Amino acid sequence: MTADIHTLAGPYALDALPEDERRLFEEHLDMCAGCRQEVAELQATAARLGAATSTTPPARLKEQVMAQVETTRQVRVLTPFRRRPTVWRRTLAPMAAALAVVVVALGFVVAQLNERVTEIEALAFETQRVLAAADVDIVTLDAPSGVSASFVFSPDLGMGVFVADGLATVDSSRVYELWTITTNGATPAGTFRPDADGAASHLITGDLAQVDGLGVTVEPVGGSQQPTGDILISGEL
Amino acid sequence: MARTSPRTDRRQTTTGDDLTELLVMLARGDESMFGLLYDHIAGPVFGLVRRVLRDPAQAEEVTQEVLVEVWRTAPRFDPDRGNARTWIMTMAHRRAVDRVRSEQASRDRESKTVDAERTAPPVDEAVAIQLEHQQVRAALGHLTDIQREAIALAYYGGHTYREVAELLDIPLATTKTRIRDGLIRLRDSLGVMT
Repeated sequence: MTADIHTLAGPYALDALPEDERRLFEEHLDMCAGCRQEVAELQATAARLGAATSTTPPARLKEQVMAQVETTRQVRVLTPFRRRPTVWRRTLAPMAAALAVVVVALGFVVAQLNERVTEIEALAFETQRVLAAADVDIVTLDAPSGVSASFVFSPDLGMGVFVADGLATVDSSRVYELWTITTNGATPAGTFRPDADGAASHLITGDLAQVDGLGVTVEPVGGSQQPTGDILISGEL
Repeated sequence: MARTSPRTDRRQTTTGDDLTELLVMLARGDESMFGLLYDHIAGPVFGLVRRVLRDPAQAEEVTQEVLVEVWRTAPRFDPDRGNARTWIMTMAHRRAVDRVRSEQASRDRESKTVDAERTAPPVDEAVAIQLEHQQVRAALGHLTDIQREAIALAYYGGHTYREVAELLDIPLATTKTRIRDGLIRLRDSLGVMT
């Protein structure tokens, strides 16, 4: 399948993929640097084929285009969010001397934010690695209505990402806990809280080849060693 | 009005890099430079769009759309990821193809037989593509017949590779690889870099 998807770089560069295959290939492009490079080169090649057809358009076209350009506003491009934490880290140190009290408090928040951003970045990075793995597999888990949950994993990498949407918020004394199920029973695989939109993702590492299934329960903060709540989400791998 | 012809020479000697610099300037909102960009790229865009659409009036309309879109989205252009000509021509081709396919879809709704009319003639045209640029013509000459026809039908004809497979009566997998192999060969003989 991987050998097959690479050949789509040709038709893609010529806009010759049907809509569904185009979307599929674009997802692949996000993860395959080799294909990105090839597509860039083949698009540049196609552009040469295009430029070779050069024909002078009617003169009125220029006036029409210029008139429309005058009344068309350009898009604004925002700086990527990812760069912010570094700026925070750099500017924080000199400020600390002058504004000790404020900055100690602020520093704490920033440190937490940085940690959170690092976590999110790490998760995004690992998720990409899993998605790009040759043996990547996706399992849709059983979940109550309104909740969708799946597990994307690669036994070769020993990594999997649990993703869920539509989860109810839990009060501050409770967390969601993920369990891996083997022939020996349930083993804790980490706790998490959904964001304000009810979305959550959680990375699991370990020997997934030995895991038969996954489960999610609600547990007291800190998590439990064995599930005490009802099983909300479950599925076999 | 009558000033269009002297521009032709200047346009042909423009390298992709001059255009790239121009587009980067435009991205800063300098709209006075747009006339210059127009002079460089309107011909290639119009030529390509007209080739794909085969209707001068529609081609004019789509060319205008594309050029205004180039202005509007110029701040998104990233010179590290390719040159301006590729960026613009890719946009132009995509627009032209979208137009062909949406019209084809509406015609399909009216009658299935008209589609056959549209798909039949391009084979001849594909074989007899007339190109001003000798270098590109020579590079196309280095391809096998199937590679050349498949690329021409897909790129100049705006067909999907599935349609190309049907038109040339070759398997789908073969069509994909012929298109890719052909493009790689063109890339190498044109010395294309990104």
